[in-house]
Amino acid sequence: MPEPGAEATRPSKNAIELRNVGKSFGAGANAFFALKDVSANIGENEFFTLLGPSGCGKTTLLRCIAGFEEPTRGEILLYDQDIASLPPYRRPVNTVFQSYALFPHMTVGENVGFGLQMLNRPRDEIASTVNEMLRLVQMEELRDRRTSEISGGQQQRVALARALAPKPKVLLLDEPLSALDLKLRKEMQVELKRLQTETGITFIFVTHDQEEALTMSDRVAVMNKGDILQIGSPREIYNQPKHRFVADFIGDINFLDAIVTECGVTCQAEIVDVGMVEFLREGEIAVGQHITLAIRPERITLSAQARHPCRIENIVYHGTDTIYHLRLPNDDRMLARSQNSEGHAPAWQTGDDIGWAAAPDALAVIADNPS
Amino acid sequence: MRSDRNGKAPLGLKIAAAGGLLFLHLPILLIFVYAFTTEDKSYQWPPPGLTLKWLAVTWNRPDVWQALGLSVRVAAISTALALVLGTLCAAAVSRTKFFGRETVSLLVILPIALPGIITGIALRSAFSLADIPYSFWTIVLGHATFCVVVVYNNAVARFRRTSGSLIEASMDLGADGFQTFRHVVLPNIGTALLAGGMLAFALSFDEVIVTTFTAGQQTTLPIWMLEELVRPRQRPVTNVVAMVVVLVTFLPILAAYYLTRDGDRIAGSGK
Ligand SMILES: Nc1ncnc2c1ncn2[C@@H]1O[C@H](COP(=O)(O)OP(=O)(O)OP(=O)(O)O)[C@@H](O)[C@H]1O
Ligand SMILES: [Mg+2]
Repeated sequence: MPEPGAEATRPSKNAIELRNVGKSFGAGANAFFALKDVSANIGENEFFTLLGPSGCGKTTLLRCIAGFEEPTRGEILLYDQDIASLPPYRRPVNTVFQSYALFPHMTVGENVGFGLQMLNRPRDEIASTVNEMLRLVQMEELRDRRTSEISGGQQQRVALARALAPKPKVLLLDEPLSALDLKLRKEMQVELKRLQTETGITFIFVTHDQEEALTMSDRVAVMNKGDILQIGSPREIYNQPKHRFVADFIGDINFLDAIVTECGVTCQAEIVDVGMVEFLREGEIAVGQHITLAIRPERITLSAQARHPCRIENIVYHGTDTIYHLRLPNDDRMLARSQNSEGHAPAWQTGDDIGWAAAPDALAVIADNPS
Repeated sequence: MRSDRNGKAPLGLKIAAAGGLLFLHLPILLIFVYAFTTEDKSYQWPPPGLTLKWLAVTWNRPDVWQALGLSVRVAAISTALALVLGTLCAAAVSRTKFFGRETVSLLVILPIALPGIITGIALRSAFSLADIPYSFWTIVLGHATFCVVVVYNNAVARFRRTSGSLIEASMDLGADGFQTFRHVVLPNIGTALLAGGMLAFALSFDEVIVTTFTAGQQTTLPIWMLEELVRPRQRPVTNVVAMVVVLVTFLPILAAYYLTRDGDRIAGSGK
């Protein structure tokens, strides 16, 4: 099924190919599958993000790629080559660890040069690469400091420079920003994106922060309980979630249960006691089928004349926008968000009966059954 | 209940502390004094006169040199053996999970908790059962049993504090097992090993009980001293040797203390 927009931005070559990767811990009856059946193609020079709640298997997947865990089944290909037989130190893949794992007995410069030293590069080449990398992360002045004598944000940069110095084909980043405060985090997000563009290295970035995933990535894979549920550009993931979990995990969303009444180029569905809505056709949909439609609060337009009636139950002012808590005739609740334009007092008050409408492309069809 | 850190200790406590320290250290001072006495048949207080001649006498006694040489060699080799075995054991216990890990950890520590006399008897019967003649190596084996514990204890504590992700980071950056050990593990546990090694050396150097069971005709320094005390001939020579033993064992223990104290800080920042 073609995903509009996704294929256009996909580079042609695959840096990493995951084929039905599974990983279980323990044996026999109490075996636990941290990864169930993960498949994905990660393109060259791509900023690919693994997004999911705690414990969904993100770190386990990275560790399989880095070589610290051996997949129980499936294959991992690096530039079309199976890397199962390569130990971690033979894989042209480097990791930025969540805890940074800087060597405490070395200076900043020695940390950054460690990878090159292990590859037996000549001394002057190591020195110049170290300087280049430190310049890249703006840490030149601190080259001779011990790693215990620099701040958390600086340690993060050193970890990044250290992993980049041997020029890996793929860089794995395991929640590298989670230890930083909000302001530094925003700065580093921009910095990371810049570094990825400048170095042209494929990044596989792990986070459980959906905003971080949306702002930085070329494509996002949303994971839950050891599976990838959906892969797509940030736009697709946000606007056309295919799973209830994906929709729910990334920001506020409304779910509407409906019955399909007509399906041509666009489809019609009836929401019992609410009315007919129009949406774009997605995959196989049959007339009479029960489906779930999802819509983001900001895609709902409110007006006195709009087609579907609703009652305002609460109005919450958020500075840049206002959130309306609505009650539909079928007793379902719905959230709507509208941006505040300057000076306008809200036109309605709690208890008002108004109308809502949604454009056909604002409604996404959720494939799975509600669980 | 709360102790006042700034307050002065009460007089009674001071006297008790001084008494305790005197009780611990006065006998040692006595040994030093008798090393310089002019009376050589019996220990007489106060010494009738002071002389340095026993230093020279000791220097010229070949049996002292022989015993000292043996002790140094035994201590050095048991320590070396303990460093290798203790480090490997500590690495296995703290780095990997395997069936019976806790038991292994307990079994390694057991020899030092066991009275030396038990270890000695056990080793002796084992040697005679296996028909191993008593030699230099049987002493070394006997000493290694407790030297391994000391090294293991030091190393395992440091291993636990050195994070496993450091090793993974090193492997990730292209270092194989040996390079990782040399460039990352060793610098992080180095001071702990040095401290453990020094303690092991000191322990081995003045060990008597296990040695009496595992040595054949050989005489280590502590055994020599024990024998010397029984027959009164140039008694102060024993005291001179005792003084040397105190210095040789005390300095490494002091150094080990400072090394581990310092190392805590370095390794602690590794997280
Ligand atoms: N060595 C292990 N032995 C047993 N279970 C493990 C092991 N490593 C991970 N797991 C389990 O596998 C699951 C996935 O763990 P993983 O570390 O990959 O999660 P994660 O997505 O990185 O979570 P977080 O966001 O909290 O870091 C968890 O339920 C975890 O308990
Ligand atoms: Mg994780």
